Amino acid sequence: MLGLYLLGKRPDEEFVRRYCEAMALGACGRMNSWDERLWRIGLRSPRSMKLIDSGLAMHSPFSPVRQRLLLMLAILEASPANSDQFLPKKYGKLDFIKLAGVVFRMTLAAVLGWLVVAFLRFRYSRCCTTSL
Amino acid sequence: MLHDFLVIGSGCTGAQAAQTLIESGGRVALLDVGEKDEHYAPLVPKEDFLRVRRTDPEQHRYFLGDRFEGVPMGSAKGGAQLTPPRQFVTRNAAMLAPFRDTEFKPVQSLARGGLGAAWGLGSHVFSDSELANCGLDRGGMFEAYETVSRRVGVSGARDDIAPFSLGGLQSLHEPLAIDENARFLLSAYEKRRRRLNESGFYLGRCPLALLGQDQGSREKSALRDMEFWSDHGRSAYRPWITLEELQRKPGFEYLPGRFALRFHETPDHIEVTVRRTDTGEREIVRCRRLLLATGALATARIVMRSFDYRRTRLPMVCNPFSYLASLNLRMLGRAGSELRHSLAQLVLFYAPEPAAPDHVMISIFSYRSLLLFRLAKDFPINYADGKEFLRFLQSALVLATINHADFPSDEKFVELVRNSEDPAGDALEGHYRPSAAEKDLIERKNRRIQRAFLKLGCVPAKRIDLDPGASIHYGGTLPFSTAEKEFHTAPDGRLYGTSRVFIADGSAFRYLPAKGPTLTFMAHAHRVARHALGLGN
Repeated sequence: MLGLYLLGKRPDEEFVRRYCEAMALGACGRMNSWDERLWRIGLRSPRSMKLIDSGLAMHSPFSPVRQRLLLMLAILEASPANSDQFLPKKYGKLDFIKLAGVVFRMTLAAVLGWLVVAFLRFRYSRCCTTSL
Repeated sequence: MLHDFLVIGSGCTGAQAAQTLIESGGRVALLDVGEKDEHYAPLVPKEDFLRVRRTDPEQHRYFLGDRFEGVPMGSAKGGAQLTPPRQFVTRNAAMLAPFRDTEFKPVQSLARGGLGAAWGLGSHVFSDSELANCGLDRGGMFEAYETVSRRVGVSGARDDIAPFSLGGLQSLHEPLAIDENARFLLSAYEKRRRRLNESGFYLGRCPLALLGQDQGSREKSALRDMEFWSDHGRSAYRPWITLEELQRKPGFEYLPGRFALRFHETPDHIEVTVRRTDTGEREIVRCRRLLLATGALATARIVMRSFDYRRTRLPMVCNPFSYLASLNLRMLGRAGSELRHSLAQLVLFYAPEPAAPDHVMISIFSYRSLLLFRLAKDFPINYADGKEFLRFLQSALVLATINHADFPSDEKFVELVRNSEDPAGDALEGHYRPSAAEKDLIERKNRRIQRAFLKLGCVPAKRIDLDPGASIHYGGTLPFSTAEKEFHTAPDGRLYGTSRVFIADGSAFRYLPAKGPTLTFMAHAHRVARHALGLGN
């Protein structure tokens, strides 16, 4: 799912194995119940992951959820198979149109993500208070 | 065995001091812990960055690290150049040379080559007034700069920054080619030179200890953009290159695996107590003359112990340091130069009053070989779209490191505190609290620098003021003094209170101008070695 979200395609098994290896080595911080809740929501689909990622990028940029995404991004980047998605290139007119789409999507996701994470946080804190 | 000269530390200063001693016929031993990388170096191919990225299936091993230690999980800190193949530079430092956690966060090294093994190679000559403020005289340093720059090989251009960075330096290699991003900046500067100069800004190529022509067994830089990952061709100067050359010379002995704890001077020799890192046992190494070159912080620790903790607090200076990311608008949509080096392309000096000692030095880098993910974590955007967006921006990114001058004050010091967990029984603690006036001045200068970037066609995007200690430039712990005072250094480098112990690193520099001090520290080490030999200036 993480590879699908970050690259737009299913990554090779090798990347998944490398990610699991990194997690076993403790490459990312430990998640608390709030992080786990967001993580579960994010794992439902690439779209929900984008909202969670965008929201956290503003609320808590170094949270364990974002750390997992950063780890997978690093693993995907450090490979010749994906190098064309990361290395600089010359942009033509069509590329600029595509880029405008990316910026629009990114801005929209940032607004929605911020609201979604704030709402989830509100519900989570109410839920915690009630259970106390 | 009694050594004629014992040098402690194999970093830039220790290596240069040892070379001077050997070239003058001395019998020299050099002692250090000697951490080195034998794991990653063989993995990195001798290819340019783009080829490596497109072809090497094993690249994740050195780009990310086998334990993924190259994936930074927190906010930006100093030492971004400590990639997995460079992390040996700080290995075991926290254990053997403990530093308590305060607002001052230094980087220490026990590596073969010390911090020089990951040095950014910026090579700047201090001006006469800066040398005088440090406690040095130009006469003694002039020859030392020439000798050291010939040894390490400094490439640079006699352009607008020459009066700030090159002084009268004669032995220069041809400047290395700069990349497209830097060329655009330089052309923007040339168009607005008069106005920028009137505001105190001067831009030019950064002098680097990166070869512009072959030198002995070292190759001219092939502009592979792999300087953060490997030392192929030995184009970049690293102190271990000097160490390897010294090991082939008669009269030189290398003693790795030893951590110096303290010294004791007897009427006819000096005894240095060291701890062996393999067995943990203590050992005594004897010498006639001792040169301490372990860096200002470690040297302070050794001296305070050696003087039986008569003082446990020493002054310290350290350049305040910030990162500034900005966008060069003319580079948007371009792929950038294929062949380039990873180090500072240009250097900008902010010197509204050219004779004043508080210039600001801004080293300017383009971004590519540290990979996109490191950049992505510091932008408040989602990673999936952010990857696309930052890929577009990366050729246009201009990363600047801003160094400010630092002057001593009562609120900047290191203290040796008892620490039962450390086998030596103590730990260092750094305190660095600049005054409100200093902070305000730095902030005002930083804002002016951001405005200067706008004039160069760059839009500042983000500035990060790093914790004190992040510049990795430390000095002032045993300041120069012409009067005999304990915990001070004589102008010839001798430590007062001793007759044959010399301080060959930056400990004696009373202030640090806003320039990379490494070339000056090396020149000073050469000069101190000559004094230790009894040759004076």
